[in-house]
Amino acid sequence: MSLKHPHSPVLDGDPPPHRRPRGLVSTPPPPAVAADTSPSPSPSPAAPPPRRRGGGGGGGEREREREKERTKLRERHRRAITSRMLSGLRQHGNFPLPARADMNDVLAALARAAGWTVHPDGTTFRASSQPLHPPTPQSPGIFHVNSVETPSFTSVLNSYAIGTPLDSQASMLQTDDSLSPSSLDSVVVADQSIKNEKYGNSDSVSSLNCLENHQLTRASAALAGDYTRTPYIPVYASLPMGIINSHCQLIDPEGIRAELMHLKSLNVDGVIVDCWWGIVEAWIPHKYEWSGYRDLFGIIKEFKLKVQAVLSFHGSGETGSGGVSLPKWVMEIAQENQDVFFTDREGRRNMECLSWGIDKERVLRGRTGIEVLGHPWRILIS
Amino acid sequence: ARMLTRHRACVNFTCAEMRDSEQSSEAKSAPEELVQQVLSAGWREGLHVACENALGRYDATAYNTILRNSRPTGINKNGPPEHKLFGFTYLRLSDELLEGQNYSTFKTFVKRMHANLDYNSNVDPLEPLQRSMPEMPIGKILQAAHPKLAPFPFDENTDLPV
Repeated sequence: MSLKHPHSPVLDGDPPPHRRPRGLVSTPPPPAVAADTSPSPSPSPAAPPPRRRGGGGGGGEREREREKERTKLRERHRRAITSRMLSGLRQHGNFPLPARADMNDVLAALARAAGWTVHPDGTTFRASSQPLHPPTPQSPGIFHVNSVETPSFTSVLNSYAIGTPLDSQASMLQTDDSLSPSSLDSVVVADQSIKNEKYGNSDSVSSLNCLENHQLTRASAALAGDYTRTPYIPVYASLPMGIINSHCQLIDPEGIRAELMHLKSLNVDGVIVDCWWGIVEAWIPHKYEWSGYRDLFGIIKEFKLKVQAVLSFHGSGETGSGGVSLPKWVMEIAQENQDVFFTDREGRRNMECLSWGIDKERVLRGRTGIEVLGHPWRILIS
Repeated sequence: ARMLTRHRACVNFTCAEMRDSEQSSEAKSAPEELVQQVLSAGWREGLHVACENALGRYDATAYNTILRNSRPTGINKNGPPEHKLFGFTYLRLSDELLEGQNYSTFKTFVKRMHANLDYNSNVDPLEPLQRSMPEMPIGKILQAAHPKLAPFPFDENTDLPV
């Protein structure tokens, strides 16, 4: 009666419903079946008639005993598994787990290994995020219940604890997944590096261009002095035709002075002097006459005007106002060989200009077209 | 223009005073566009570029066209002009130029070319000629012809008229 009495509250209480589903979930099928089978035959033959009458009560007792045996077997099985897990973690993973570590220690160690932060009170979160592990808050509650539970319930708790490593493994898997985005980030960073290199190259090219421009600007400035800085544009006036005759004599020095005085008052910067081939080398090949031009340059210098000498190797048909033809000896050659002149489609000759066709033809008393152009220049500057 | 760069030459082109509207349509000529193309080509190659007139002119219209071509975008109040002529040659001194109104107009023209600044003999200084640079491969010269580039912008009218 006393025995019956203490068992009754247990049966009537909530524990049975909790125990059965968890036990079923936790128990491996083969051992469970074996356990159920082995106790079954032995109680049956031992049943006495008076127990049959109280058969209900007797059946309860037997079932309780069987339940205890099954629980013991499950616990033994579970401990063996736990022991092997701890050995493996200690041996292969260098986990600093004590010999009698409980599942919370294992869980915490695995979580930390997976990159989670685990506080002593069980608070768990990733370093850069809020706490995310759902099962953790339940642990304290469960242990609180454990303090008032029967040993069989404690086994159930152990079973639950053993199950949590699966969650940890899931967390590890999640961690593995999170590595992919990191890898992608690395790739993106690499791409950015490549872009930076290209940009750097572009900068280098731009720098070279700027350098070239700078050098060009400097060279230009060096050559031109203040020229490039000012909007001031020099104005030159070309002198009239006919101021020097075909014998290279300055015709009217005083008239020229008067005109130069006008130009000076106009603030003209300089004058242009046409040096005609038909005057300088008018009569005899290689016989150069510069006297008239030299006198003219002297007068221009008196007025501090600039001079641009234009070597005119053509003729000017303004015969009415002092036109100039090609040298006389060239015209003589031309009479015998009209091809020294430019000729149009209809056969008309331009008697004022030698053709480019004789640039390399020695038809000018032993000289080529190009040579006759170069000689007077050298004479002038020497 | 590129062919001349190695000789440090100055390009001198004509027709500076001409307006398209002044030409006979029968001639089918466009001197304004031609002048702008030639000047722009010289500036693009870094050459000194100068100009002169083709015909004798004594009127303000011609002078204003020359002024427009001399400083295509006028006087830059923030610094030196981007492009301008190295010099201008007036063709030709004559008795007609030096008489009466023509003299006065030409004097104003010279002042405008000087940007209303005082006479300055330091512009276009006298310097010895330098030797030509090494010969240029023909391919490099031909490159200048492709593509055909548009001239630099030219204002319609000068900012400093006679």
